[in-house]
Amino acid sequence: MKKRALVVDDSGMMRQMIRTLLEKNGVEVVGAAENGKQAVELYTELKPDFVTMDMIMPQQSGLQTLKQIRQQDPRAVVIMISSLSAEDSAAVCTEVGASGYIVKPFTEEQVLAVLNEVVGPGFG
Amino acid sequence: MAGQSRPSISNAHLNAFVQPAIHVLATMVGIAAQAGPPRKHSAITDAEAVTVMIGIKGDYTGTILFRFSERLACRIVKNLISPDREIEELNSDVQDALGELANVIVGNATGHLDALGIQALMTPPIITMGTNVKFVFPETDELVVVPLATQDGEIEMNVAFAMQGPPMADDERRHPR
Repeated sequence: MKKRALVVDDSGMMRQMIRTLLEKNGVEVVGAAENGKQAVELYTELKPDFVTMDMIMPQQSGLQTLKQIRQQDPRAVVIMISSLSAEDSAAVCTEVGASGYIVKPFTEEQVLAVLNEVVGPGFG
Repeated sequence: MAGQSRPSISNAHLNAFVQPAIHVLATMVGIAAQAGPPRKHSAITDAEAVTVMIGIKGDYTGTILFRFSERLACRIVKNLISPDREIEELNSDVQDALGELANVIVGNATGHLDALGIQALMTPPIITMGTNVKFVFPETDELVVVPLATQDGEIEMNVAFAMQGPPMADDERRHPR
């Protein structure tokens, strides 16, 4: 059965780029959100198997959104995708419950490696 | 910080932005770029067609600007979102894609600055379209322009910042936006 994903990013280009990569690798992208508030609403409605979450978004950051989703569902699998490459950023995300951290710009292989580790084997 | 304690923008500072810019353009866009010699400026008056601005705050405050000609902007966005069709106008897709591109470059640069012991947070990008724009920077900011040459024209990367105020507290450093 296909894994179901929610893609969260304020950039339409990046949402499309991630959607294309996931769908190419057998993931069903059930929703896409352009801000944190919309992401929390869609998570509640769609209950995806995992979320890809941009870190830097206007109004509400990916980190704040991660916290809200984890409060609602402590077992939520959220993979942070960020241009921030400092180790501190990944550590902070892990502290509040992120399952994985991917640095932009990413390759398909890097994304698949994280999916295999945190969502389950069989990608790629 | 005004006065003699304010450090100048060094080659290490500039490389913190130049290296990610070249890397991101190559891996994300598929365009090879080569950095030219940096030049000091006091203002920018000859705006290119598209300018993306990202603010920096932390141990340094300032602004990073990326300026693109219309031709180069369209070429970059074609590579990013629609390899099969030409981009012929500076529409919202172009704004979105160039904003994200700059976001990724500066985000990567904060990691390089971190390695230099400089903590920096970034603001979301602001984009201006059109050439009739003048950018004026605070007198405390030092402005350095680095040209990035590509086969489709030049991207001008402007690094303008100054060290201001005390270094960030540890708590703020560990909780980026």
